[in-house]
Amino acid sequence: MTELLRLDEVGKSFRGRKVVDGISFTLRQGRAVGLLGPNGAGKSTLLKIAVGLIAADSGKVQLFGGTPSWRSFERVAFLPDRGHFTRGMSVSEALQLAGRLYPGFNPGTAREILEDARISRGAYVNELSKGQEARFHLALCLARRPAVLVLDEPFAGLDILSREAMVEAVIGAIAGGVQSVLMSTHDVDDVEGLFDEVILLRDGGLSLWDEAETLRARYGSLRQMYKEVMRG
Amino acid sequence: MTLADLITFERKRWSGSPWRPTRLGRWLLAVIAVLWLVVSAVLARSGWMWMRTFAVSWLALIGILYAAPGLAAKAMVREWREDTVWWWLSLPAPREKLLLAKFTAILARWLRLWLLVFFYIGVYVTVLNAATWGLSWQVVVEQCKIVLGEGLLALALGPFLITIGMWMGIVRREARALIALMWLLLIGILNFQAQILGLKVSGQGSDIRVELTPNYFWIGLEFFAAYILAGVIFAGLVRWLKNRAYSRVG
Repeated sequence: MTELLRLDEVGKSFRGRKVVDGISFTLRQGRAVGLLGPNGAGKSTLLKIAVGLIAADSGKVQLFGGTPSWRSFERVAFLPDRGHFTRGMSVSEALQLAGRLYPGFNPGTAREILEDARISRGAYVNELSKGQEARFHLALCLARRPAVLVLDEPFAGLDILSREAMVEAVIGAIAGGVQSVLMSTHDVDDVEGLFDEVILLRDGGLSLWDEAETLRARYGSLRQMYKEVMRG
Repeated sequence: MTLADLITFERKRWSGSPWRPTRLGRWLLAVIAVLWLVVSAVLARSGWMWMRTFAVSWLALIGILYAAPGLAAKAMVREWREDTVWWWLSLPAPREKLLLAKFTAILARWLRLWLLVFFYIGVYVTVLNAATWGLSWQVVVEQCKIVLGEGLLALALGPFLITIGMWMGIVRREARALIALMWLLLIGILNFQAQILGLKVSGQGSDIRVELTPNYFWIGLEFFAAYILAGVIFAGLVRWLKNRAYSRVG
């Protein structure tokens, strides 16, 4: 399988505090990789380093075989954990604009997700509920049909129905042609069957990286694995 | 993705949603509007013919010059404060294009403000002030020349000040420090302008006269230096984004 992303001994410190400590892993084509860990484990920073938004202090990052640059974002869709893409726009205006900003943007895919989430196209983005807004942002990413979909804590603060809908949308996207997914979360319950591989971070370091099936066989479930490794 | 698309993106982010000021904001706006009308009326009825034109237009000039770096700094600061920076930086466009689009959107917004302010001053000078005092056509034209000069000066300094504001918004993301810095910058610029424009106020009471004897060499030199500095700052900002230097502070 083609390697899309490779991190070798990547490290990052903020104000003298080590946030990411010598982490190495790869993301291969067609794989969904979960980045698990408690709050403050360095997941968000690691994702931003992986897509080239933040510079690593040490180590090497290779995205599509080269150094990440603005061109990478033609094939990578990154969904940050906070902030609005289009705070002051209506949903329909935002979709129209996204079609001009992102190459390969398919408004039909976005509309399907929005209809499913009962999001009116006339509504303003900043007036959507938290769950609707999260699904709207996910729709923007999925409609780009990216080679790599990078999601940073996409379920944080959402109710159970919204979380399930988001998971279904991601699964649908994987089946429908998004090639690889790298997703951070600390909410293990919702992603039990989503990942092919799991990476567990703790205090900025890599605690574990293995096939999800292997981990399920060894611990019974990802939730159990998470609890045992974190306690251990 | 074209530059026009990015400019539309920047403009929509600010102006797409209907603006709803808070209750305090509505009161403040009302108080400012009433104060402005009172000051204008007092000045229009005061006996100091030249001074009232001078005061109203220079007050507006200070405001419009302050707005340029203010708007620019705010646009940069809010990217970090509202956590939209990662959406912005993950757009598939070169960094210089992202910054140029932001700069152009700020400039367009500032130009609208400039037009509004100098339209008001134009109406004030030619209608309110002239009609109240029955000024001759010759005096009105003379006053208009000063106002036009001030307006063009502000217009020419705008792009430079916007670049400075963008830099300030990145270097120092704390609003109070920014406001203090901008006032210092503005006082410095206005003081220098008064020197190179050869601003002279003579006479007393109702005979106060304001004259301009501009030194074109220094004005040219000032604009040359300002635009070179703006270019250097812009290049520095592009480099700063390309090197992802923002990630050093966390």
